[in-house]
Amino acid sequence: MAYVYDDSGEHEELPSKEEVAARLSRWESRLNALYARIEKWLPSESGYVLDRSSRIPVNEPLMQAVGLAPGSLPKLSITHPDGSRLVFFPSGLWMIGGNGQVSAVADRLAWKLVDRGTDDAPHWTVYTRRPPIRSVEFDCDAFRRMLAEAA
Amino acid sequence: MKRFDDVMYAYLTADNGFATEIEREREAGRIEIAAELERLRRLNDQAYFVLIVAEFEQYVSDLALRRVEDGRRGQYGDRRVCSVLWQRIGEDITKLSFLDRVALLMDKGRFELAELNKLYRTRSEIAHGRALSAVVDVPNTARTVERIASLLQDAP
Repeated sequence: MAYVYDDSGEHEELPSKEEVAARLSRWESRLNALYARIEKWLPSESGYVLDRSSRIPVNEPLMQAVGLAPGSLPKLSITHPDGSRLVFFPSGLWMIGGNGQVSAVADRLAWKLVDRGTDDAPHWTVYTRRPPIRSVEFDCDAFRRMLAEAA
Repeated sequence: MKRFDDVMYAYLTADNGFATEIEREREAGRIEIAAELERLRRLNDQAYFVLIVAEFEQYVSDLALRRVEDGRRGQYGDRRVCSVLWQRIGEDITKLSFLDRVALLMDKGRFELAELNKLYRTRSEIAHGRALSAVVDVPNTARTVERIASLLQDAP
């Protein structure tokens, strides 16, 4: 029986607990790097308040399969002076078609970000919310459009 | 084959709805509800993945059957080979494995065949409840399938 657990294909054997833990650790580093980029993209003197102190629980199926204890990963909250918020949080590392995804959520809107790169060289993209559905580069312009929609 | 634009839009609308609800439940301290929504979100990914691959499989079957029918009438390929094949399968092209049906339409050396093999195996793992990587980039899968379907349609 093959276990499908990441985008490199199917695997006859599960990875070790240590391998899963190491990949999770690299995932946290990628998330922190992504959040740091987003912080730099925020318009200066805009009054936004950033918070990276919160963490969310993580307990993916593969972690459970290898007996790795549930953990936590960082999220990023951006609060506008008017109280509206835009929150980024990880929503899956082991995925088919990408190398991890992040959700961005505002009051009534959400976006899906997918890393199409590698652990060492991330390449973040974001899906358009309306047709035609396209995956576009998640850069400063894309982020600021998102921020404007979220306000 | 029809394009998956509406399917992708429906999927992203649902997926973004899950993300919004998960964040809301976490903020309210309802961690167990958020975890259940995460599980359902993965299930939603899998359902859309299987839907897309199943639609593609039907497309391949229709195209392969047409190719055999045309072949035995001498329009394509070797008429005798296609006639024998036709006698073996009757009109039930699914008597051939999925990859054999694809092989009727595409040269075996093409890298898209490896992509298809992977998609189909993943579909089988999900269908049998054995897939551990339950998160799927559904729109990316849809675009991959559309690209390969276009190649098959244009193949001589």
